[in-house]
Amino acid sequence: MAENVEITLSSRPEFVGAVRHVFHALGVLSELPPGALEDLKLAVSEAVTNAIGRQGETAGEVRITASREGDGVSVEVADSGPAMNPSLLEDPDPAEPSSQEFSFESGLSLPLIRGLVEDLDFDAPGEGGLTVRFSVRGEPEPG
Amino acid sequence: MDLEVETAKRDRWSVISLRGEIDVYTAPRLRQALIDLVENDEKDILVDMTRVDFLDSTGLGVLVGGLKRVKAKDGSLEIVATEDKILKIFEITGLSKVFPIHESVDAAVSA
Repeated sequence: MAENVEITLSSRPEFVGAVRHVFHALGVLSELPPGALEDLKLAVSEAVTNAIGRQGETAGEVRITASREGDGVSVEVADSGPAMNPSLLEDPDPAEPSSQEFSFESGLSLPLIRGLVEDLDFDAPGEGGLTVRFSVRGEPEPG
Repeated sequence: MDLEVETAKRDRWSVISLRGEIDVYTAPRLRQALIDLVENDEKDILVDMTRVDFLDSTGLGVLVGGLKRVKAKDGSLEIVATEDKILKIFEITGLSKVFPIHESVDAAVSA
């Protein structure tokens, strides 16, 4: 049986916790080990939070799709926010604490996602919107 | 999906005890607790995260903001955390080099 998730939600912070619960279930069904399960939930939460933040006060939507693939889970998070400066998606230097507290550009979110996932990829068309794709694999836990 | 915030005094430290999840929706409660303490001249703050189930970059940003506030008053902000999934987040972002992290409030207070 395939384990798939398709969610479209309003870009409201209240919904981020519910998304984590869904991905907890998906991770369990996909038999991810505990560490990878937590990585999946955090990475998805980060990506969804960023998508919500990018749309600010607008009544935007966030579209999340995910499926079990092999020993892991592949995820795609898409928003219809403003066009993204591609330079912000480049692999940054080791994170320095930023003066901004709530911002995708604060330097904390992207290094965090990079440290958790594999196959991270972005699609930022010039006319707007951002799609983030990544996978989390269930590597064997140590010990 | 909720966050409980309690504040208490231990010696020179103001201890913020957190329980639940810290994300974009709940982080403002932590942010306000930090602001309230600093505005009341409490500049040495311990954030007890031993009962935190989830932490993301929004929460980290709040902690960084709190650190900047106390540093402006020659104070300190230190963390109490033991869960691997929480410690990992500090490690990945490099913030384990910024915040002293203790295994318990008792250990932090007696350090």
